[in-house]
Amino acid sequence: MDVEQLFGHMVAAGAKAFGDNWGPVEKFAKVEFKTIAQRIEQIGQGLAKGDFDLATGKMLLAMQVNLATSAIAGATTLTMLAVEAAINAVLAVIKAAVNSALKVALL
Amino acid sequence: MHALKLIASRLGAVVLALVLVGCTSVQLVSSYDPMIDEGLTRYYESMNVFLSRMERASTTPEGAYAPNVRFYDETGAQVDSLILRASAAEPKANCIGSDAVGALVKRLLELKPFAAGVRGLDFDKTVAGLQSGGGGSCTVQILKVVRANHDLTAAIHQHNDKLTAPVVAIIRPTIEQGVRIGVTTELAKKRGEK
Repeated sequence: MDVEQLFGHMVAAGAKAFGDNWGPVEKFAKVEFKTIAQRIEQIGQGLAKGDFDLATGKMLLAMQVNLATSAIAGATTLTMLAVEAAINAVLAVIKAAVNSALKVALL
Repeated sequence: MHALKLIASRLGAVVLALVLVGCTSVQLVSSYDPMIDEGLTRYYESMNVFLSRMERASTTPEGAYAPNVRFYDETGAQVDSLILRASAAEPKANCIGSDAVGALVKRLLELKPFAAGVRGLDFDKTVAGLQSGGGGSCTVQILKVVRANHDLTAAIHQHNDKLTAPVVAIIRPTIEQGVRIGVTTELAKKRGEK
């Protein structure tokens, strides 16, 4: 198994999914994906050495797939927080402009 | 169209609508919950100590599965209470179910080849659960992964009737990573509220 290739595929999939918003979450996602890819390689090596049986290897791999979904959920949360901050920043500017123009705290 | 580009393209309309109805701030993600932050940290501490103990006791009766079922049940219940709390905070939320982030599911499916050949691992079902929104908010899904990996740890222990060093060497960082993702997102919410 080529861990770098696996990691590359995961990063490419994340970059496509997040589009222009990949930047803010790239560091987070890359760290998580890299770790998962390395651990999948470690599971393969453990199986090859006979450290554990196939059933155990499958369960260990299932844990990594779970983590991949968790990493995406985490990255989504960070993106939504960034969107939330952007909306609130725009609203704050509008609020200040409207209240200033009307000289009344309308908003 | 990329899902999150869609969010950006709708941002202007959303802001205008909010101004028209008098809203001066919005909240897209649940607030920081110290109980989840602290609960996850406590869970990791418990699991970390437990895994070290099981690794040392792997050749003794104390390291067998049966004497440790209660630990799995009790610590699993702690995670369940966190899931309940996160679900209550955002009862109608879903993480990847909305149009805005639906494309993520398609991309997630690109990871499917890496799970190929793993019998009993229903990747499509997992993704379908996310797509339907049945999994709850992103926080709920992150916590559900912690719970699922807790159950898999118990299943591995039961299958082998011990937890050996090479197995613990993979399980420990896996548990740690799942908890870290949860704590990282909670702390990001905390920073966002300042």
